[in-house]
Amino acid sequence: MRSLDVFILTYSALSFSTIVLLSLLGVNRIDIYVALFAIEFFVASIITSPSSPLESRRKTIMGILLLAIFAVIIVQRIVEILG
Amino acid sequence: MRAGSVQDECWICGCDLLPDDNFCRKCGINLTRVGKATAATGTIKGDHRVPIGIFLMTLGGLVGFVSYLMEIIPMLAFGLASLLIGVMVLYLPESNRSITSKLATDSSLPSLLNTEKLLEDLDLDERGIYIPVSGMGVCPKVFVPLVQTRATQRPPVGLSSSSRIFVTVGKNPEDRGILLDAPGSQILSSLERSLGRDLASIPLEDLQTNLDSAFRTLDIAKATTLTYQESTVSIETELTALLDLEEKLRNLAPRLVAQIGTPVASALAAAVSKSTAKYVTFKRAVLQLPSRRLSISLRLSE
Repeated sequence: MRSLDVFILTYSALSFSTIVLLSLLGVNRIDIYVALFAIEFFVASIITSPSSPLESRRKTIMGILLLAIFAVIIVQRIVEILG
Repeated sequence: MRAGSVQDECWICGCDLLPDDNFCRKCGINLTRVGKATAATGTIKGDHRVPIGIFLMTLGGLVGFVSYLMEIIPMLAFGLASLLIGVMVLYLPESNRSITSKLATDSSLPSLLNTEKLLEDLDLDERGIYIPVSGMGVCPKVFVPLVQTRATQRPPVGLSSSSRIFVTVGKNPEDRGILLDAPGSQILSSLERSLGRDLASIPLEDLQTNLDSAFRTLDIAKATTLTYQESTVSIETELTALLDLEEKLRNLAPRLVAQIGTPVASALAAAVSKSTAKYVTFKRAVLQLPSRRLSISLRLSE
């Protein structure tokens, strides 16, 4: 199986397990789900590395976008706590 | 003329080719037209990934939108996850070779090209003869004769222990040739290690099962079939690795491919030589790129 297929399967398994687990725990905040999706992206990337140069570059672009979303969520939470 | 460019004649036997020919009508070698092959492969891959990606994105978008309106957070998360995975399937490129495969190709190609240059410079047109040997991890050597004579058709079995490259196998000056380590010698050793047996102890009837099992274990190929009829052995296998090397060698080293064999083909020829204890020469070795199938035909001689 190719590295990319393993990555997508790993990421799918991680994210859908998160949904099941958090919904069973009664979590009703979408920002928690999204933050975990972002973290799982990096976990899946590291588990399935190395990847080809082009694949690696595109993963980096996706990673930056997810990191930005994650940062926004964190900032919002900090503002909530401080405010 | 090299493969990959527009060919008017086969680079192996010089036979005239028609524009739509994929295989030489005389020697049967695969004519790799890189653009065509890549386009065909790309279409198959594209067919697999694009519908899956579009399906996941559509599903994610619809579920996400409906769940957002109904304020069901876990379902909204499911929609987002599907959308994200769909984007990944579409955006991330499908690489048809792994890093390991690329490294294997890059590191072994120069030495194989040197062998090709040697064959070209010495103007050796005869097919290589795999000399039978026995012993765990011992690989048959390949003798490429200068010309076909009675002596060079059946080089002495003891030649395998020689460390020389230029050897004389008869009394006449033309009974000469070069003695090379088979390009697939290390693959053959790995096959024997994974089986835990010397291939010389395995009869030809059982060779298919053993080769299929060992190739699967090493993740080189699958679905290996072997048929034999009198003095001809035909082997077909579906490569799961080293496809890039096979393709490059067909473009860059046509003599090596036809006379001695690529590493995988050479390992198969050496395995047959060990199993039958007979001299083996290549009749043809064809690679079908879209289906990844390598078909080789070998001639056995006593």
